[in-house]
Amino acid sequence: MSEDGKKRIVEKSEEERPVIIRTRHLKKLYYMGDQKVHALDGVNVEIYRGEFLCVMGPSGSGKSTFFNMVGGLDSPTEGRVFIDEVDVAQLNAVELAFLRCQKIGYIFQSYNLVQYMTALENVTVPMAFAGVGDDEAHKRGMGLLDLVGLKDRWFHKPIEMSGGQQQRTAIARSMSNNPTLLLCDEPTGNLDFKTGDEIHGILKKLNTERGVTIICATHDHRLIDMADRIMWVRDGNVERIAERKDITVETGAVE
Amino acid sequence: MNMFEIKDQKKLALSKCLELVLSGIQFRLFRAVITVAIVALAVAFLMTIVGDSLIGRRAKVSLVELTKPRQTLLFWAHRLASPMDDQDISNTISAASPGDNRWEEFKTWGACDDITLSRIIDIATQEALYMYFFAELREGKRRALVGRARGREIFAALQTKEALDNFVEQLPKLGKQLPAKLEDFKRFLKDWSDTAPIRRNITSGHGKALAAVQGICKNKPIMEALAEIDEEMLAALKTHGFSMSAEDMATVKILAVSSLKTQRIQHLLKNMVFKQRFATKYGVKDLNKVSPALLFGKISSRSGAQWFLDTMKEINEPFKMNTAQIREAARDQIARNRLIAMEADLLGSTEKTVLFGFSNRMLWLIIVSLIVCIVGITNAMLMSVTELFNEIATMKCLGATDGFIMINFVIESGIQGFSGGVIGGLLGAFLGILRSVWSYGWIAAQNFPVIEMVTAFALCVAAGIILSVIAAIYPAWVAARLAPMEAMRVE
Repeated sequence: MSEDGKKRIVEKSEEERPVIIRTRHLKKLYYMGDQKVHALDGVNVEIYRGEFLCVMGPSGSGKSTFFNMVGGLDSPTEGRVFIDEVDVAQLNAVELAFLRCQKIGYIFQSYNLVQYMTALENVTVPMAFAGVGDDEAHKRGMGLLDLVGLKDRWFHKPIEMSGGQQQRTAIARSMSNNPTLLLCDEPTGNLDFKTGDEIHGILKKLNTERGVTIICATHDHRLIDMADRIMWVRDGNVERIAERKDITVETGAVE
Repeated sequence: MNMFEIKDQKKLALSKCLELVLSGIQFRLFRAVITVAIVALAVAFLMTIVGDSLIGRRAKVSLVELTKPRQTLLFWAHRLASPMDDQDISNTISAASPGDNRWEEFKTWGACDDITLSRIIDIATQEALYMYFFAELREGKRRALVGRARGREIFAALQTKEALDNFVEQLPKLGKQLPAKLEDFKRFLKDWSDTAPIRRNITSGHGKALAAVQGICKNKPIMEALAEIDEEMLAALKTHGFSMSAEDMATVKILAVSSLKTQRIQHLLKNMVFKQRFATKYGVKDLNKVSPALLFGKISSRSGAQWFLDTMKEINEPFKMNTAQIREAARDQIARNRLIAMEADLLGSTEKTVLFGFSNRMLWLIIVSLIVCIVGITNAMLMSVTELFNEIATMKCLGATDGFIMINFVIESGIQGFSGGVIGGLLGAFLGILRSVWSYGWIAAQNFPVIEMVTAFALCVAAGIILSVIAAIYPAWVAARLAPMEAMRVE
């Protein structure tokens, strides 16, 4: 999507913006011993195409559960998740694998790179699953590593890289099949201030230049500062959703 | 507008799977070592037993082949020299069949034709059956039935009408069934008495033949006579019914000569002067410990044989052999003793073989060891799965299908099974060979079953692979079922 298109979307009124994720009465029940735990208790949310959404909430608020539902990693007890009007619950295992491979990119707090593979191999794994040929995968993989600034380190294994470099590799990997949706779970949770900034920059770049929808769980105020909307989750419910322009965010207060 | 078009995820090519698995195995080498070791142990156990059994079986076959000449000699020595009673004749007759040597012999002795002889054989078989029946009875019961008669006398005793009537009357009180119907038994009794003259003919014919053999042998002991056997004697024997083949004659002659020599040497141990000298020479303190085996062991060497000949001269024993002959005789005897010992070892085992020459007990052991192996591999693989939770979940997030994860683990296990199979197979073959050579000696080394061993090795490697693949199914299923959201978890 072009930069003009992006701007237009932001300027449009809420009703007209295309929705990429819609949840209806989303509920998830866990049993911990004899106790019922409502990890999610009837969430109704719409996430728009091309937006940068930050999800906030204390641990145990149901934030992670919400992520799993939206990313097609877990199935809800009740209610529905539509990703681009496709009901995730209707998909079988093989279709889910296709969805995860082609349409959604995942970025984890602990990077989750495959330890015995080089950076390039890590980036090309999802391409292999998608059936991309070796030569094509190599070319695209190098392009993605270039995008995150690791072109010269493609042969390094995760153990030989810093946390920031590993997370950048993970971002390159998440983009390998050009997904429309990027799910980030505390992407800078394990990183220092400066490295975190680099990661934020890359994510923002992907959002604005490639029009990728980004849903990001975070506590980092700088990342919230970049977001289009912010969603607060508490006790399995959406407490509040606010446009960035409606709230004040103080960043870099302590350094 | 629907921008998502959901399709089935593509299946990964096997080559790509293999590539991913191989790079993973390198990384998890330690875990792989444990699994490989478990497989190797189980396969080694299997291979040792199979190898031992294969070599042992071959050794047995060649041992039978090796002892055949000796059996032939003993057979003929017995046949030409020992008189047979009715019982022996009955036993041997029932083993004869038309066309073989024995058949012809009996025909000559009994002066009867084929039909009569086959009738006699039939009766001899029945006789054995009834005699077994009477032998099983308690003394008191038998007396009530047939009086004081025993063995074959019973059939003679039952020839009178009173005796038979008494028998028929007593039989129902016995509580035991005759092996055949009463009418059959009566018919048998009649036939038995009818053919008695022919049997007597055979016995007397055999007796005459034996007497004639003694004449042919010029009253020498049978071994000495056999040592000098020639065409003329063979022909003479044939006229009296003993048809020995030319091949048998050659074997018998060679063995009889060698046997005589060793007998001659062994006989010297009865000479106290010689025994004393031998004991002094070789430092044996207890005279009783001078055994034939020791004697033959010592004189099989060049110096031993020379000493033996010198001593013979000194004690004035006439002995017409040179050192080479003495040594040869001694070596023959040693080999023969070893064969006899091995025969007892190898052929004496009474355990029945069920499959591939394994006994029931062995088969049970093998099955248990394989099950233990499967459990061990499953455990190792489950640990591997637990360790790789994060990685598996990540892979699933990246688009791996359940099938890929499963195949991944099965291939990994299969590769480990193959390596373990090869290592274990080689180890087991080595141990098996060592063990069988230890217990069967040179006879195993000389008759090594190469093709069978190679086949067994290939089968054992295949068993290792199959075992590992079976063992990996459950852990692979666990891994495949793993929820991808595990990847979100932070340690």
